[in-house]
Amino acid sequence: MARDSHLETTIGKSLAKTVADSRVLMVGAGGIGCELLKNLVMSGFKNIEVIDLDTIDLSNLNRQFLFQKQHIKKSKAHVAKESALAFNPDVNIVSRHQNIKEHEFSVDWFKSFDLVMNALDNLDARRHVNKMCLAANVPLVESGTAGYLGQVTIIQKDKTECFDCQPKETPKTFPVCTIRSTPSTPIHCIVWAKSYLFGLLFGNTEDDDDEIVSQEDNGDEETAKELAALAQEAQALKAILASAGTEGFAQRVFDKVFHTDIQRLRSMEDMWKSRKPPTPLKYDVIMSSTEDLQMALDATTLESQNLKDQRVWTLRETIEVFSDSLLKLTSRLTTMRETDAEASVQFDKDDSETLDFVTATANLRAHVYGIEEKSRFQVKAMAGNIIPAIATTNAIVAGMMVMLAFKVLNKRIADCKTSYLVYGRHRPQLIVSEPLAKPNPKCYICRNSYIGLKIDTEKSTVQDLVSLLEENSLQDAEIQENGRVIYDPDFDDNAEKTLASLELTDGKFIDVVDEDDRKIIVCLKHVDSADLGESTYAIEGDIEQALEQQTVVRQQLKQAEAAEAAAEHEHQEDPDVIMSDANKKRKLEEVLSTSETTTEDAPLKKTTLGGVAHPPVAGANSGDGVGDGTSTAQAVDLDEIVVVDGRAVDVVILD
Amino acid sequence: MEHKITEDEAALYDRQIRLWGLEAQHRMRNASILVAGMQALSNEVCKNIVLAGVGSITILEHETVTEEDLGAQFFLRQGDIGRNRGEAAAEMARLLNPRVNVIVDKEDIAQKPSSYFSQFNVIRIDNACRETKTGFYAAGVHGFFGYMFCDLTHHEYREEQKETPLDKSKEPETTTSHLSQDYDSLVSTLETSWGYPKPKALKRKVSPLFFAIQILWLFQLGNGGRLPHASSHDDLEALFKLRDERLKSAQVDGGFVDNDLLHTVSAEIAPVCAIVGGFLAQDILKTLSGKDAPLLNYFLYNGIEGTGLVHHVQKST
Repeated sequence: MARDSHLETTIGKSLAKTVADSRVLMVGAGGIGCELLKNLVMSGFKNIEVIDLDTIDLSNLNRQFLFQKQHIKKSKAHVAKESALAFNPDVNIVSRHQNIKEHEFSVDWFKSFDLVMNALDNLDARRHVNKMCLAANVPLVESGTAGYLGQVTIIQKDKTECFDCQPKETPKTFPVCTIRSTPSTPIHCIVWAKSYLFGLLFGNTEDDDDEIVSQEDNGDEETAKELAALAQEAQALKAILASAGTEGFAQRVFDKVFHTDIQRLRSMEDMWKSRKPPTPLKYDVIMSSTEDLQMALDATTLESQNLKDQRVWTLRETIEVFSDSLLKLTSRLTTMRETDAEASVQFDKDDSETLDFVTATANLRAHVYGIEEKSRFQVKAMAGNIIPAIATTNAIVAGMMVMLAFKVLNKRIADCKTSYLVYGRHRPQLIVSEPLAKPNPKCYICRNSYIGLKIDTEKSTVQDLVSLLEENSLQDAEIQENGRVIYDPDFDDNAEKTLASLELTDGKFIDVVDEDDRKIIVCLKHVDSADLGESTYAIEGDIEQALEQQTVVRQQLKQAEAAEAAAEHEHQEDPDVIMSDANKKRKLEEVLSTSETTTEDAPLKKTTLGGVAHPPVAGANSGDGVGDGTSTAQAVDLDEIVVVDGRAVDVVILD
Repeated sequence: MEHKITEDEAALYDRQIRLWGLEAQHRMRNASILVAGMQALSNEVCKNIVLAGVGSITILEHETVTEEDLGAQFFLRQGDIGRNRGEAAAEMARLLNPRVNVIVDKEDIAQKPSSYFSQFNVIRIDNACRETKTGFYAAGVHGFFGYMFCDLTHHEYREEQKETPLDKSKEPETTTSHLSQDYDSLVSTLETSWGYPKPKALKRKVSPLFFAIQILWLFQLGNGGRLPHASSHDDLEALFKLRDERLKSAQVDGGFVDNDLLHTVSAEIAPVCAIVGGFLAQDILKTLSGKDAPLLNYFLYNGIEGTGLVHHVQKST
């Protein structure tokens, strides 16, 4: 019997052929991606394109099983392809070591696939692929995992909710003064070490704060003064940097950052009225203390029980790591700057010298402020936004993605569900599913209509664009690109400019809103005028139909808003009886986030696909529930089924 | 001798240690596992537990590779046809994680002399788990469906709960509780009598798949161990007959297991193996780590409906 016999027996010859003829795009070749590619080549898929911009790291190998030690630093996409081809050489795989957001991956390129499958780990790329699939009207299988939790769903334009229909959590930000002057938690110290001090010492620009430090402070005079003082201190530190490589350099940096600067802060009495003031640290005082030396020795003897990575270092050890990593990083920077004067070292959680430095400085700062110190293992997770990941969750999720892919290719989207993996004690189900949600009428991504426009962006002007829109029923249009106003009836400054001069080039999306407030997203495709023939442009798609659709979308939105307003009104009259659906959902989410048990039919709290995941909540404990009645012995002859081991073997599996 | 987790291992297993902790990793590192039978589902299970970093895994398999095996068994290559299936799979399994000792035993499990069983201390299931406190799992994939069964005799485990203190600046406190669970043997779960409940009520207690797999076992018993062929009319007739007998003896309404459930019984497909094999490996790791509650005691996956139900089937009293 042939290789495909099991598959054909199960899914049928006709679907097996559809699968073999389909073209699928896999975005991401990491944790889920490795499992997914294996499943695809083993499930009859013959044309697969895989894209990933990442390279392989040691910490991937515990789950990304297409990669081995000798592949570290190589392209994930290329190695994944080679490994998967060994499973089934009879598959055509194209691998790309590129960013999916690159220009060449246009709407037309997305259209060349029957199905797109996301195996991504970040919000930004997910939103991009979501938008491209909506514009190309290609079904998207979306997935995500975090630890034991995972989820899989389908996104199809106008039929289901899209990735952006529900708001996503944004990364947490901290006020700049909390980070620079008044930290109170370990994360404040870590952010200071990673995003402030690290950049100051090893970066190339003046003040390159990470986005997680928000600048929106109250703007009062005190704050301004404090910021000015901090800027001055930064300059003084840079002066010390000039002495890198000379005797006592580490000590000078240490005393500057943890003594001089802290003393100045401490002198600002107002700041410490309601807070515990920081205690400056002096390098030689600690290094000559015998008490801490003994603690360090004790810690070394503990090493056999506890990895150094997993325990909090003594103050003396911390300073040693600080000096050591500082010297290594400054010398690395010096070497780099021999060839590139602008070179800088970036923090990377997997670069052990940078992690050492951040751990040591964060903990020294924590020590100064009397904040709990953290192990290097913990700092790594907090500084690197690490989400724990295991092979099994990825394997299950990637398996469920292919089961959905079968249904989509079989034109059975109606049978698809959003599924969650749940974890916890004695649950009645390990997979919880709910029907696909309808698009959110308020969604500003998927409620749009997308139209392709072939045009010579070098020669055509904004006025040409406005005219051609008018020819196509879009009167008095407002044109924007990514929030930037290009043209509206009262603003024609750009009318004579070419599209290219305004960076409206191939692959750009422009928003067009007509006099009736109907919005069409136009995707620009540059074509040389010579290739356009008679006309100066060509429209792909049906504008009339798109406009009709937008009229409907606007009606739906109005209805939704009216319903909400009505519900809000009634809600005020009798809060216990009437709640809008949205409110009901919110209420439930509040309940679910505090309690692990609820009824079986309750809607689930969603796992966020990117960033932090919330545990989806399943039904109540299954507990006992079966097996009343009396026994009538009718059992399979067990002698034939199973053998079990005792001491040498802990678990036996029978396949 | 007990093996301690090294710095190198901690780096390799970083992302999973962050989930289940160093102690769980340590226990896995010192555990050994026997996998009896190497097919597509066990490919998945082996991959997952080898990646997780257990101490050793022994593959017991006497059969040779056929072309059909290449369909869903990713450990196998075209060139492996005719080789021992366990040996071919072990080569690939070792590459996934050189730290795990992968052992192959090519003898037929049925032909093993009793000395082998004493070497591994393997005995029949009815008393093995009870006496030796060894974890036992049975699992299989049949077309769109899959199952696993777990009997740990008596299992002790711990659970950690994080409580967020009112003072948000403080770390959440972790409380550990020590729990235990008694398990029923496979034979006693099969002896359960259901007393003809209404199908709807019964469905809440147990999936029809529970009986479907037993009907398959019965078919294998009567047919020298082979699985039925989906295209064989005689095989299907035999299955339907076995179903009627089995359901009657279990005091279950005859319509509870419909024909479709018995149709694609002899095939293993990759995505279903990935799903069932993922849950199975996860549960094995959970058992080894002594952290959190393992499966109690049946998991039944239905790929057509996309459901994965857990049923606790207990001995009739």
